[in-house]
Amino acid sequence: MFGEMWKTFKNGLWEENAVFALALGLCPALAVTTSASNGLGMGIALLFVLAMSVLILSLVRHFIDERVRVPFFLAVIAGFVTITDMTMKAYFPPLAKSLGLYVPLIVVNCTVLGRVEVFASKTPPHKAFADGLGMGVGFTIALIVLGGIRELLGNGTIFNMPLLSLIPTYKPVLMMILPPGGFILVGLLMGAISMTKKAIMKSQIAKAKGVLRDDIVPPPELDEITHAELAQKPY
Amino acid sequence: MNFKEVFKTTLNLVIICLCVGAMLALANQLTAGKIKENERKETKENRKVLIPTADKFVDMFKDDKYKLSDNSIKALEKGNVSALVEGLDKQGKSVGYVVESSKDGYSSKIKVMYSISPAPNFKVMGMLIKDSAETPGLGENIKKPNFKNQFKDKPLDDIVLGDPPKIKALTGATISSRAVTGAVHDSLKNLINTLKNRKSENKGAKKKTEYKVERKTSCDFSLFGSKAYAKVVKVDPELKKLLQADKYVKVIPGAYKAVRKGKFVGYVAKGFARGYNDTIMVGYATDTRLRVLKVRILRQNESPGYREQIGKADFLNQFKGKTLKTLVLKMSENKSNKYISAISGATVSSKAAVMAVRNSLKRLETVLKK
Repeated sequence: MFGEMWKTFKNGLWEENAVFALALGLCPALAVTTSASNGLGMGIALLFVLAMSVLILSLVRHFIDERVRVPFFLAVIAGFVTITDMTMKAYFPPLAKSLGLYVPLIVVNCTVLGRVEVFASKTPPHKAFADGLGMGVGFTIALIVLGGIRELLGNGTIFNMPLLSLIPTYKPVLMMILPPGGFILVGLLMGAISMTKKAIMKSQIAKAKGVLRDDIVPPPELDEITHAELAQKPY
Repeated sequence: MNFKEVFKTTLNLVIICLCVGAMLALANQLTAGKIKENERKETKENRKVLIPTADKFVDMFKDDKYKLSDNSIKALEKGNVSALVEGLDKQGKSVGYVVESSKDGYSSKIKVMYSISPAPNFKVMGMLIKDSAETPGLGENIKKPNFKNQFKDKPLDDIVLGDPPKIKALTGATISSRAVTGAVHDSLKNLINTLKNRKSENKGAKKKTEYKVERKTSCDFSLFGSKAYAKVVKVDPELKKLLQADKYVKVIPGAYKAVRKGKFVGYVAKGFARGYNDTIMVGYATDTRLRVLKVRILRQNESPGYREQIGKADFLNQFKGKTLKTLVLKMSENKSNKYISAISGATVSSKAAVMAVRNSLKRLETVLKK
């Protein structure tokens, strides 16, 4: 059981990373990542909401009527989002201030709704929970990476600690903090990640065939595993 | 859908909503007190930071004992003062006031909080930004100490943008800087008036001291009469370059009718406006119906990098075909070509360039109509 859970968890980190592979939840991912700490805060907020929502919804999945499932999901998600929002405001007021509107907007975040719809409503709780955690952690890492790079280049600091700005001649690339920088960076990272994935796939195929030639092209059906396909697989 | 199904779906939703509602009520119970306490604590801390010597703070808007008269509260609220607190030391002597005020910045309402020393100086002791959502990396820098601390020990007259001892605006964030300065300036002006009146009322003094403040707008785009310059230049060769003609006939100082081979082809003129650092001089050519054909920046002394960009073709080409009606600067959100969009980080300079052409064109039009 734990092996299975670990596999599901890992899937969300790399293979199906919410931001870089599935391109889900890009709105908050781009909007709040002006600094690494904002990315971390937003990621943890989403992690909590996602893990709790998928756990609860997976537990009651037999009870939900197919026709009203979306309002049902939304009610649960909205509940957890509001709790997160209140907790943040009570215990981390500066973070709540800088994230602003984006925490309440997690309600309609497609990462959460997507995972609930395609995964949690069809799988037993332990697996759904592992998937929620994996997706959430993957999202958090993606946001920290995005926020870290943007903050470092655009402001010369990382987690508010001066790094590049220690170099007296360094001039911050302001654009990186502004929206265009976010788009450019997320595009470049997505490209780099799918290139790496392809390379890994190639070497695995080569290994399986017992040859070590890198001109082997992976067959198209192995190239992409979409989450729609994953959902159809019997677990 | 038969009755049973309707019942089932309804029950489904009712149950979940009840559960979530109960959960939220519980969470609210647990956090509401803390949230309120945080807010109160934050205000309290801010006040303490602004006036460290104070022992007690009394609200001059709400506290029954210390309340100002209703009229003066109304006047203050109109005058951009949203909260006023007096700081008292252990002996109950006034050590200063904490004022809250706000003004629209570039993309948000900027809320500021500052403290002033008691009468008769009314110098700003400290200032902080309570709430703002300006552009990160540009406008949000108003929260940084190097901007904020400029307000320390400044009297009212120095709280305008300008060179030290006035407030120096942040590069690329003049609008935000101006909003902060304006919020402090406006509210302080009103407050000083009210407090001085109150003092004289209390003492029963016959003389009412009228505190008059000379208003100094740091960047006003008033007409820079081109008369002063017109004497120096006949027809500037730079202007001739804009619209080739054999003869230029003076219409008003600084504006000429261009005549080519006996045919009237348009106007060339110069315009001036106060830019960020210095007066900007622009030259432009229009066709016979006063539509702008070409604009060039003839003289400017704006900061390199940001503001100098007003001389670039991307910006200046936007002027093409514009008339007096469409010669308006729009913030960058508006992507239509109908108006002119500003260079981000150089709004003041862009505005000056537009105003220079506009002012001159307006004058030309009125003269021609006569």
